[in-house]
Amino acid sequence: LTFNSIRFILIIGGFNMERHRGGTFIIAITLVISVIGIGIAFAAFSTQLNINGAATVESSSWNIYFTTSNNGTAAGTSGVSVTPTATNTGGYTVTSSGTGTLKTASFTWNGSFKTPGDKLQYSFYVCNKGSYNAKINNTITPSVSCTKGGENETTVCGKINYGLYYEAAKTNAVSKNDTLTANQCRQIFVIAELETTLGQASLPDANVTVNPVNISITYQQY
Amino acid sequence: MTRQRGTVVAIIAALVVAVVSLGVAFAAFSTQLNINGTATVQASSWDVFFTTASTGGSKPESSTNMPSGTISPSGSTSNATASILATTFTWSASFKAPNDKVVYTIYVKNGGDYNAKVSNITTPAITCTGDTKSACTHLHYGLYTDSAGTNELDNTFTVNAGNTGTFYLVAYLDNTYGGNDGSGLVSSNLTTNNIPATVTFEQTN
Repeated sequence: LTFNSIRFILIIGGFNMERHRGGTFIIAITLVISVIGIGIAFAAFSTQLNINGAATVESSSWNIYFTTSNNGTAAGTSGVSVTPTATNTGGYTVTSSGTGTLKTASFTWNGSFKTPGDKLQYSFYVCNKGSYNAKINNTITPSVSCTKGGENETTVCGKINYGLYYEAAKTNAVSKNDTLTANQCRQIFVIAELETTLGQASLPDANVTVNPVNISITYQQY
Repeated sequence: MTRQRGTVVAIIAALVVAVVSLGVAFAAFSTQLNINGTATVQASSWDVFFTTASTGGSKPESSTNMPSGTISPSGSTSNATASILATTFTWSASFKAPNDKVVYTIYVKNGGDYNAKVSNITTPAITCTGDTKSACTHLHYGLYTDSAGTNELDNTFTVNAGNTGTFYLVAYLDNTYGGNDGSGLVSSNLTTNNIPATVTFEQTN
Protein backbone atom coordinates (compact mmCIF):
# COMPACT_ATOMS: atom_id res chain seq x y z
CA LEU A 1 0.00 0.00 0.00
CA THR A 2 1.88 2.98 -1.22
CA PHE A 3 1.51 6.53 -0.12
CA ASN A 4 0.13 7.40 -3.54
CA SER A 5 -2.42 4.60 -3.30
CA ILE A 6 -3.56 5.94 0.09
CA ARG A 7 -3.90 9.39 -1.46
CA PHE A 8 -5.91 7.74 -4.20
CA ILE A 9 -8.18 6.10 -1.63
CA LEU A 10 -8.67 9.39 0.18
CA ILE A 11 -9.42 11.17 -3.08
CA ILE A 12 -11.97 8.50 -4.02
CA GLY A 13 -13.43 8.89 -0.56
CA GLY A 14 -13.76 12.60 -1.26
CA PHE A 15 -15.64 11.85 -4.38
CA ASN A 16 -17.83 9.53 -2.37
CA MET A 17 -18.45 12.38 0.06
CA GLU A 18 -19.55 14.59 -2.84
CA ARG A 19 -21.83 11.87 -4.10
CA HIS A 20 -23.25 11.45 -0.63
CA ARG A 21 -24.04 15.17 -0.44
CA GLY A 22 -25.70 14.99 -3.87
CA GLY A 23 -27.88 12.13 -2.69
CA THR A 24 -28.93 14.08 0.38
CA PHE A 25 -29.85 17.01 -1.82
CA ILE A 26 -31.98 14.84 -4.08
CA ILE A 27 -33.80 13.38 -1.10
CA ALA A 28 -34.51 16.86 0.23
CA ILE A 29 -35.88 18.00 -3.14
CA THR A 30 -38.07 14.91 -3.31
CA LEU A 31 -39.50 15.66 0.12
CA VAL A 32 -40.27 19.24 -0.83
CA ILE A 33 -42.02 18.14 -4.00
CA SER A 34 -43.99 15.59 -2.04
CA VAL A 35 -45.18 18.17 0.46
CA ILE A 36 -46.19 20.52 -2.32
CA GLY A 37 -47.88 17.64 -4.06
CA ILE A 38 -49.93 16.91 -0.97
CA GLY A 39 -50.91 20.57 -0.83
CA ILE A 40 -52.04 20.53 -4.44
CA ALA A 41 -54.02 17.39 -3.86
CA PHE A 42 -55.74 19.04 -0.90
CA ALA A 43 -56.59 22.20 -2.85
CA ALA A 44 -58.04 20.12 -5.67
CA PHE A 45 -60.65 18.84 -3.25
CA SER A 46 -63.23 21.44 -4.22
CA THR A 47 -66.36 22.13 -6.23
CA GLN A 48 -67.15 25.13 -8.37
CA LEU A 49 -70.82 26.07 -8.35
CA ASN A 50 -71.96 28.00 -11.41
CA ILE A 51 -74.58 30.69 -11.30
CA ASN A 52 -75.67 31.69 -14.77
CA GLY A 53 -78.16 34.42 -15.34
CA ALA A 54 -79.57 36.94 -17.72
CA ALA A 55 -81.52 40.08 -17.08
CA THR A 56 -83.83 41.91 -19.41
CA VAL A 57 -84.65 45.58 -19.33
CA GLU A 58 -88.10 45.81 -20.82
CA SER A 59 -89.00 48.49 -23.26
CA SER A 60 -90.80 51.42 -21.74
CA SER A 61 -91.40 55.11 -22.19
CA TRP A 62 -92.12 58.24 -20.24
CA ASN A 63 -94.61 60.33 -22.18
CA ILE A 64 -96.79 63.01 -20.61
CA TYR A 65 -98.15 65.78 -22.76
CA PHE A 66 -100.86 68.36 -23.29
CA THR A 67 -103.47 67.78 -25.93
CA THR A 68 -106.66 69.48 -27.04
CA SER A 69 -108.89 66.39 -26.83
CA ASN A 70 -109.35 63.39 -24.60
CA ASN A 71 -106.85 60.68 -25.65
CA GLY A 72 -105.62 63.01 -28.36
CA THR A 73 -102.12 63.24 -29.66
CA ALA A 74 -99.56 65.63 -28.30
CA ALA A 75 -100.19 69.24 -29.20
CA GLY A 76 -96.78 69.44 -30.82
CA THR A 77 -94.10 72.06 -30.81
CA SER A 78 -95.78 74.48 -33.20
CA GLY A 79 -98.78 74.91 -30.97
CA VAL A 80 -102.50 74.82 -31.53
CA SER A 81 -104.98 77.51 -30.68
CA VAL A 82 -107.25 77.16 -27.68
CA THR A 83 -110.18 79.51 -27.49
CA PRO A 84 -111.51 80.26 -24.02
CA THR A 85 -115.09 80.35 -22.95
CA ALA A 86 -115.91 83.88 -21.81
CA THR A 87 -118.62 84.48 -19.22
CA ASN A 88 -119.47 86.94 -16.51
CA THR A 89 -120.20 85.58 -13.10
CA GLY A 90 -121.96 88.77 -12.07
CA GLY A 91 -124.56 88.43 -14.74
CA TYR A 92 -123.25 91.40 -16.62
CA THR A 93 -122.49 91.65 -20.24
CA VAL A 94 -119.39 89.70 -21.04
CA THR A 95 -116.57 92.01 -21.92
CA SER A 96 -113.65 89.65 -21.57
CA SER A 97 -111.70 88.00 -24.34
CA GLY A 98 -108.60 85.85 -24.62
CA THR A 99 -106.41 83.62 -26.68
CA GLY A 100 -104.47 80.51 -25.86
CA THR A 101 -101.76 78.42 -27.47
CA LEU A 102 -101.23 74.85 -26.44
CA LYS A 103 -98.00 72.98 -27.07
CA THR A 104 -96.86 69.53 -25.98
CA ALA A 105 -95.44 70.75 -22.71
CA SER A 106 -96.68 74.31 -22.36
CA PHE A 107 -99.80 76.43 -22.45
CA THR A 108 -99.70 80.17 -23.01
CA TRP A 109 -102.74 82.34 -22.62
CA ASN A 110 -103.66 85.99 -22.77
CA GLY A 111 -106.84 87.55 -21.54
CA SER A 112 -108.41 90.93 -21.01
CA PHE A 113 -111.10 91.85 -18.55
CA LYS A 114 -113.20 94.91 -18.21
CA THR A 115 -116.28 94.24 -16.17
CA PRO A 116 -116.17 92.80 -12.67
CA GLY A 117 -117.18 89.15 -12.94
CA ASP A 118 -115.55 88.67 -16.33
CA LYS A 119 -114.20 85.16 -16.56
CA LEU A 120 -112.16 83.21 -19.08
CA GLN A 121 -112.11 79.45 -19.02
CA TYR A 122 -109.59 77.48 -21.06
CA SER A 123 -109.88 73.74 -21.38
CA PHE A 124 -107.42 71.13 -22.53
CA TYR A 125 -106.14 67.72 -21.48
CA VAL A 126 -103.03 66.26 -19.97
CA CYS A 127 -102.35 62.64 -20.98
CA ASN A 128 -99.99 60.00 -19.73
CA LYS A 129 -99.24 57.68 -22.65
CA GLY A 130 -96.05 56.30 -21.16
CA SER A 131 -95.47 53.07 -19.29
CA TYR A 132 -95.38 54.46 -15.79
CA ASN A 133 -97.86 55.93 -13.42
CA ALA A 134 -97.19 59.54 -12.65
CA LYS A 135 -98.06 62.00 -9.99
CA ILE A 136 -97.55 65.69 -9.59
CA ASN A 137 -94.34 66.24 -7.75
CA ASN A 138 -94.52 69.99 -7.70
CA THR A 139 -96.63 72.90 -8.89
CA ILE A 140 -95.59 76.50 -9.14
CA THR A 141 -98.41 79.01 -9.36
CA PRO A 142 -97.01 82.51 -8.94
CA SER A 143 -99.15 85.34 -7.67
CA VAL A 144 -100.48 87.82 -10.17
CA SER A 145 -98.46 90.96 -10.59
CA CYS A 146 -99.21 93.91 -12.80
CA THR A 147 -97.45 96.66 -14.65
CA LYS A 148 -98.54 100.02 -13.44
CA GLY A 149 -100.97 101.48 -15.91
CA GLY A 150 -102.67 104.16 -13.90
CA GLU A 151 -104.69 104.74 -10.78
CA ASN A 152 -106.08 101.80 -8.84
CA GLU A 153 -103.67 99.44 -10.53
CA THR A 154 -102.77 97.70 -7.29
CA THR A 155 -106.37 97.24 -6.33
CA VAL A 156 -107.31 95.91 -9.72
CA CYS A 157 -104.37 93.56 -9.83
CA GLY A 158 -105.43 92.04 -6.54
CA LYS A 159 -108.85 91.29 -7.97
CA ILE A 160 -107.55 89.15 -10.83
CA ASN A 161 -107.54 85.50 -9.93
CA TYR A 162 -106.55 82.43 -11.80
CA GLY A 163 -106.22 78.75 -11.10
CA LEU A 164 -105.91 75.25 -12.52
CA TYR A 165 -108.75 72.86 -11.89
CA TYR A 166 -110.05 69.50 -12.96
CA GLU A 167 -113.59 70.79 -13.27
CA ALA A 168 -115.15 73.93 -14.64
CA ALA A 169 -116.84 74.33 -11.29
CA LYS A 170 -113.41 74.67 -9.67
CA THR A 171 -114.15 71.81 -7.28
CA ASN A 172 -110.66 70.29 -7.32
CA ALA A 173 -107.56 72.32 -7.94
CA VAL A 174 -104.59 70.73 -9.66
CA SER A 175 -102.32 69.94 -6.74
CA LYS A 176 -99.22 68.14 -5.65
CA ASN A 177 -99.55 64.35 -5.46
CA ASP A 178 -102.45 64.25 -7.92
CA THR A 179 -102.04 61.09 -9.95
CA LEU A 180 -102.03 60.49 -13.66
CA THR A 181 -101.77 56.78 -14.23
CA ALA A 182 -100.38 55.18 -17.34
CA ASN A 183 -102.74 55.63 -20.29
CA GLN A 184 -104.90 58.12 -18.40
CA CYS A 185 -105.94 61.56 -19.58
CA ARG A 186 -107.38 64.26 -17.35
CA GLN A 187 -109.11 67.43 -18.37
CA ILE A 188 -107.63 70.63 -17.04
CA PHE A 189 -109.28 74.00 -16.81
CA VAL A 190 -107.38 77.22 -16.56
CA ILE A 191 -109.83 79.72 -15.15
CA ALA A 192 -109.05 83.41 -14.79
CA GLU A 193 -111.50 86.07 -13.67
CA LEU A 194 -111.90 89.57 -12.43
CA GLU A 195 -113.69 89.45 -9.14
CA THR A 196 -117.15 90.87 -8.85
CA THR A 197 -116.07 92.69 -5.71
CA LEU A 198 -114.17 95.23 -7.73
CA GLY A 199 -116.19 98.31 -6.92
CA GLN A 200 -116.91 101.26 -9.09
CA ALA A 201 -114.44 103.39 -7.22
CA SER A 202 -111.67 100.95 -7.90
CA LEU A 203 -112.07 100.79 -11.63
CA PRO A 204 -108.77 101.55 -13.35
CA ASP A 205 -108.39 104.69 -15.39
CA ALA A 206 -105.99 102.96 -17.68
CA ASN A 207 -105.40 99.42 -18.85
CA VAL A 208 -103.78 97.21 -16.23
CA THR A 209 -101.47 94.68 -17.78
CA VAL A 210 -100.80 91.50 -15.89
CA ASN A 211 -97.21 90.37 -16.06
CA PRO A 212 -96.62 86.90 -17.53
CA VAL A 213 -97.64 84.21 -15.12
CA ASN A 214 -95.44 81.19 -15.59
CA ILE A 215 -97.09 78.18 -14.07
CA SER A 216 -95.31 74.86 -14.00
CA ILE A 217 -96.50 71.37 -13.19
CA THR A 218 -93.93 68.65 -12.68
CA TYR A 219 -94.99 65.05 -13.04
CA GLN A 220 -92.91 62.30 -11.55
CA GLN A 221 -93.00 58.53 -11.71
CA TYR A 222 -94.50 56.80 -8.73
CA MET B 1 10.76 4.99 4.73
CA THR B 2 10.34 1.23 4.35
CA ARG B 3 9.82 0.81 8.09
CA GLN B 4 7.32 3.64 8.10
CA ARG B 5 5.30 2.02 5.33
CA GLY B 6 5.34 -1.23 7.16
CA THR B 7 3.96 0.46 10.21
CA VAL B 8 1.12 2.04 8.27
CA VAL B 9 0.22 -1.29 6.73
CA ALA B 10 0.24 -2.88 10.12
CA ILE B 11 -2.05 -0.19 11.56
CA ILE B 12 -4.50 -0.49 8.71
CA ALA B 13 -4.55 -4.22 8.95
CA ALA B 14 -5.18 -3.97 12.67
CA LEU B 15 -8.04 -1.58 12.11
CA VAL B 16 -9.63 -3.88 9.53
CA VAL B 17 -9.41 -6.80 11.90
CA ALA B 18 -10.89 -4.75 14.72
CA VAL B 19 -13.82 -3.53 12.66
CA VAL B 20 -14.56 -7.02 11.34
CA SER B 21 -14.42 -8.32 14.86
CA LEU B 22 -16.82 -5.68 16.12
CA GLY B 23 -19.23 -6.55 13.30
CA VAL B 24 -19.12 -10.20 14.23
CA ALA B 25 -19.61 -9.37 17.86
CA PHE B 26 -22.54 -7.01 17.06
CA ALA B 27 -24.16 -9.63 14.88
CA ALA B 28 -23.87 -11.99 17.69
CA PHE B 29 -25.91 -9.71 19.98
CA SER B 30 -28.84 -8.44 17.90
CA THR B 31 -32.66 -8.66 17.98
CA GLN B 32 -35.06 -8.03 15.17
CA LEU B 33 -38.22 -6.30 16.34
CA ASN B 34 -41.20 -6.67 14.00
CA ILE B 35 -44.03 -4.16 13.77
CA ASN B 36 -46.89 -5.40 11.64
CA GLY B 37 -50.01 -3.39 10.80
CA THR B 38 -52.89 -2.71 8.41
CA ALA B 39 -54.61 0.53 7.49
CA THR B 40 -58.10 1.18 6.12
CA VAL B 41 -59.12 4.12 3.99
CA GLN B 42 -62.70 4.71 4.96
CA ALA B 43 -65.34 5.40 2.35
CA SER B 44 -66.08 9.10 2.02
CA SER B 45 -67.27 11.62 -0.48
CA TRP B 46 -67.01 15.24 -1.47
CA ASP B 47 -70.37 16.43 -2.72
CA VAL B 48 -71.42 20.06 -2.74
CA PHE B 49 -74.39 21.01 -4.92
CA PHE B 50 -77.42 23.27 -5.28
CA THR B 51 -80.62 22.06 -3.74
CA THR B 52 -84.23 23.15 -3.67
CA ALA B 53 -84.86 23.97 -0.05
CA SER B 54 -83.20 25.04 3.14
CA THR B 55 -83.70 21.52 4.43
CA GLY B 56 -81.57 20.15 1.64
CA GLY B 57 -82.43 17.14 -0.48
CA SER B 58 -80.96 14.99 -3.15
CA LYS B 59 -78.89 16.42 -5.94
CA PRO B 60 -81.11 17.44 -8.87
CA GLU B 61 -80.09 15.32 -11.82
CA SER B 62 -82.43 17.16 -14.15
CA SER B 63 -83.34 20.81 -14.37
CA THR B 64 -85.56 21.70 -11.44
CA ASN B 65 -87.47 24.92 -11.13
CA MET B 66 -86.81 27.05 -8.11
CA PRO B 67 -89.25 29.45 -6.47
CA SER B 68 -89.43 32.70 -8.38
CA GLY B 69 -87.31 35.46 -7.10
CA THR B 70 -88.88 37.94 -4.76
CA ILE B 71 -89.87 40.98 -6.74
CA SER B 72 -89.97 44.48 -5.43
CA PRO B 73 -91.68 46.87 -5.60
CA SER B 74 -94.70 44.62 -5.93
CA GLY B 75 -95.76 44.05 -9.52
CA SER B 76 -93.06 46.19 -11.02
CA THR B 77 -91.32 43.47 -12.99
CA SER B 78 -92.92 40.94 -15.26
CA ASN B 79 -91.06 37.78 -14.30
CA ALA B 80 -88.20 36.29 -12.36
CA THR B 81 -87.47 32.59 -12.84
CA ALA B 82 -84.76 30.22 -11.70
CA SER B 83 -83.78 26.57 -11.98
CA ILE B 84 -81.03 24.34 -10.70
CA LEU B 85 -79.19 21.33 -12.06
CA ALA B 86 -76.49 19.79 -9.85
CA THR B 87 -73.88 22.51 -9.61
CA THR B 88 -75.55 25.06 -11.87
CA PHE B 89 -78.08 27.70 -10.84
CA THR B 90 -79.73 29.52 -13.74
CA TRP B 91 -81.78 32.68 -13.29
CA SER B 92 -83.65 35.05 -15.54
CA ALA B 93 -85.28 38.29 -14.54
CA SER B 94 -86.77 41.25 -16.28
CA PHE B 95 -86.91 44.81 -15.10
CA LYS B 96 -88.80 47.80 -16.33
CA ALA B 97 -88.84 50.66 -13.90
CA PRO B 98 -86.06 52.24 -11.86
CA ASN B 99 -85.59 50.46 -8.52
CA ASP B 100 -87.06 47.18 -9.77
CA LYS B 101 -85.34 44.46 -7.78
CA VAL B 102 -85.27 40.66 -7.70
CA VAL B 103 -83.94 38.55 -4.84
CA TYR B 104 -83.25 34.86 -5.37
CA THR B 105 -82.68 32.49 -2.47
CA ILE B 106 -79.95 29.95 -3.21
CA TYR B 107 -79.48 26.76 -1.20
CA VAL B 108 -76.20 24.82 -1.19
CA LYS B 109 -76.16 21.32 0.22
CA ASN B 110 -73.01 19.71 1.48
CA GLY B 111 -73.81 16.04 1.00
CA GLY B 112 -70.25 14.91 1.49
CA ASP B 113 -68.22 14.03 4.54
CA TYR B 114 -66.06 17.10 4.75
CA ASN B 115 -66.80 20.59 5.87
CA ALA B 116 -66.66 23.10 3.04
CA LYS B 117 -66.05 26.78 2.79
CA VAL B 118 -66.07 29.30 0.00
CA SER B 119 -62.63 29.68 -1.48
CA ASN B 120 -63.35 31.82 -4.51
CA ILE B 121 -66.14 33.95 -5.93
CA THR B 122 -66.35 35.50 -9.37
CA THR B 123 -69.07 37.96 -10.33
CA PRO B 124 -68.35 39.23 -13.83
CA ALA B 125 -69.68 42.60 -14.87
CA ILE B 126 -72.98 42.66 -16.73
CA THR B 127 -72.61 43.22 -20.46
CA CYS B 128 -75.17 43.88 -23.16
CA THR B 129 -75.11 43.91 -26.92
CA GLY B 130 -76.70 46.76 -28.84
CA ASP B 131 -77.29 48.88 -25.78
CA THR B 132 -77.78 52.29 -27.36
CA LYS B 133 -79.18 53.86 -24.20
CA SER B 134 -76.52 52.52 -21.82
CA ALA B 135 -79.29 50.86 -19.88
CA CYS B 136 -76.94 47.99 -19.09
CA THR B 137 -74.90 50.22 -16.81
CA HIS B 138 -77.94 50.61 -14.60
CA LEU B 139 -78.29 46.87 -14.01
CA HIS B 140 -76.50 45.44 -10.99
CA TYR B 141 -76.27 42.13 -9.19
CA GLY B 142 -74.36 40.48 -6.39
CA LEU B 143 -74.19 37.53 -4.04
CA TYR B 144 -75.01 38.21 -0.41
CA THR B 145 -75.55 36.38 2.83
CA ASP B 146 -78.68 38.40 3.55
CA SER B 147 -81.73 39.05 1.40
CA ALA B 148 -81.38 42.79 1.87
CA GLY B 149 -78.13 42.69 -0.08
CA THR B 150 -76.08 44.23 2.70
CA ASN B 151 -73.41 41.62 3.42
CA GLU B 152 -71.51 40.27 0.46
CA LEU B 153 -70.80 36.57 0.24
CA ASP B 154 -67.14 35.92 1.03
CA ASN B 155 -64.74 33.16 2.00
CA THR B 156 -65.98 33.06 5.58
CA PHE B 157 -69.12 31.32 4.36
CA THR B 158 -69.06 27.66 5.36
CA VAL B 159 -71.33 24.69 4.92
CA ASN B 160 -70.50 21.83 7.22
CA ALA B 161 -70.88 18.23 6.16
CA GLY B 162 -74.53 17.26 6.00
CA ASN B 163 -75.77 20.82 6.29
CA THR B 164 -77.36 23.25 3.87
CA GLY B 165 -76.23 26.83 3.46
CA THR B 166 -78.28 29.72 2.16
CA PHE B 167 -77.18 32.79 0.31
CA TYR B 168 -78.89 35.29 -1.96
CA LEU B 169 -78.54 36.71 -5.42
CA VAL B 170 -79.82 40.28 -5.59
CA ALA B 171 -80.27 41.95 -8.98
CA TYR B 172 -81.78 45.37 -9.57
CA LEU B 173 -82.22 48.29 -11.92
CA ASP B 174 -80.91 51.37 -10.22
CA ASN B 175 -82.89 54.53 -9.56
CA THR B 176 -81.08 56.63 -12.16
CA TYR B 177 -82.21 54.47 -15.05
CA GLY B 178 -84.09 56.45 -17.69
CA GLY B 179 -82.87 59.85 -16.62
CA ASN B 180 -85.08 62.61 -15.30
CA ASP B 181 -86.94 63.02 -18.56
CA GLY B 182 -87.20 59.36 -19.53
CA SER B 183 -84.82 59.77 -22.47
CA GLY B 184 -82.71 56.86 -21.24
CA LEU B 185 -85.55 54.33 -21.37
CA VAL B 186 -85.12 51.54 -23.90
CA SER B 187 -87.63 51.41 -26.71
CA SER B 188 -87.26 47.66 -27.23
CA ASN B 189 -86.39 44.94 -24.76
CA LEU B 190 -82.72 44.74 -23.94
CA THR B 191 -81.39 41.41 -22.65
CA THR B 192 -77.97 41.08 -21.15
CA ASN B 193 -75.39 38.58 -22.24
CA ASN B 194 -75.05 35.56 -19.99
CA ILE B 195 -73.84 36.53 -16.52
CA PRO B 196 -71.59 33.62 -15.43
CA ALA B 197 -70.90 33.98 -11.74
CA THR B 198 -69.13 31.20 -9.86
CA VAL B 199 -68.75 30.21 -6.23
CA THR B 200 -66.08 27.65 -5.43
CA PHE B 201 -66.32 25.57 -2.28
CA GLU B 202 -63.22 23.95 -0.83
CA GLN B 203 -62.56 21.51 1.96
CA THR B 204 -61.84 23.30 5.21
CA ASN B 205 -58.71 22.53 7.16
